[in-house]
Amino acid sequence: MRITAARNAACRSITLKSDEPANRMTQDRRKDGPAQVEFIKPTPLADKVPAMGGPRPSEALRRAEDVVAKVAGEFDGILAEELADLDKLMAAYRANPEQAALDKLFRRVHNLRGQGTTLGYPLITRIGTSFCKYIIERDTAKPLKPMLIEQHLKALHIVLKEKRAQEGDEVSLKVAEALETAVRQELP
Amino acid sequence: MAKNYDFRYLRVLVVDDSRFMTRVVTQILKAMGVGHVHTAHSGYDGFLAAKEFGPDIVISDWDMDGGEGPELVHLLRSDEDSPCPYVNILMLTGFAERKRVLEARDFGITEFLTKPVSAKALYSRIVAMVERPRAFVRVGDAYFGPDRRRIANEDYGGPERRLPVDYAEIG
Repeated sequence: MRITAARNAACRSITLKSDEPANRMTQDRRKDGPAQVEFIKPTPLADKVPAMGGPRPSEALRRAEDVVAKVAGEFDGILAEELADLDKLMAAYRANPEQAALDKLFRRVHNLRGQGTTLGYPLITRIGTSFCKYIIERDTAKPLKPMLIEQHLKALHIVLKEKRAQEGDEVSLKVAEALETAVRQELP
Repeated sequence: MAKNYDFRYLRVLVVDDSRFMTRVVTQILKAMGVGHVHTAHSGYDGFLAAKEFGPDIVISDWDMDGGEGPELVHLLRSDEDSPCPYVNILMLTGFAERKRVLEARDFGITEFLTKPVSAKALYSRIVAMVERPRAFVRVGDAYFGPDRRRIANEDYGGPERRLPVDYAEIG
């Protein structure tokens, strides 16, 4: 066995050749024979990150969460723009129902899904999850239902509308549950 | 006792096709005290940015337009022009199925984080990279990346599992 110590980012490397009988023995005992395995030890990140001098973890997290809350305040406007774009992509897909158009739609909803909960919109994540589940996991023996896709997009609009109007999330929740039920019926 | 890590010298490259998401992650990192943050919006741009920026950590989304996260990992780990084959890679994904986690592990990521991203989860992954560095392993042409075995078992006598896996067989 060879052990190499490698310098990371700049990748200056030092090579330490070493035989370690215990490890070699472990490899030789395997039922289907040893693989050619080389172990390399990169420069540890700890070399660039002193364990003192920075903020306390609780302070670092408090600052980070404050920043997320601030950025989340801007998410309303971005979400509205994003939903308008999704409507255009849906119209394009309706006009020309090809995989490429569906892929574009999927990617944008998938991104929104990843951002929703972080930025105070857990129902965007929930509805986005339902959408992605339908696209990825649906029973391909059944025809794709553009109506179900469109209903997910409409549900995203409802979430934004309720949040802006500070009406709670009663309607959005019911819609999310209904969509999840509909998607379950489309799975294999 | 918790350590007060000083991240001011750390260089982090954030790659995500969602500009808003790169902004969120960048802001979180800066609030934690990370000194140098750079962004890119596709796998290929990320690779070019890595050459210029020389990151210690790459935080990349999995699904992106114009170059997927896995392709970026492959370029960083294995391309002969890679500036940093040993860089720490934190993969962000909206999916957490076992198949995808295993797949990510096997193409050479260091840590994995499921969206939605929280400040706490991001902090804990970075601290994990600092406190528990992983040796790299090269298994012929089959694998190059962080050692996928987090538990050392010198008495292991089972089949050789460092070799490639057929993901189609994993549910």
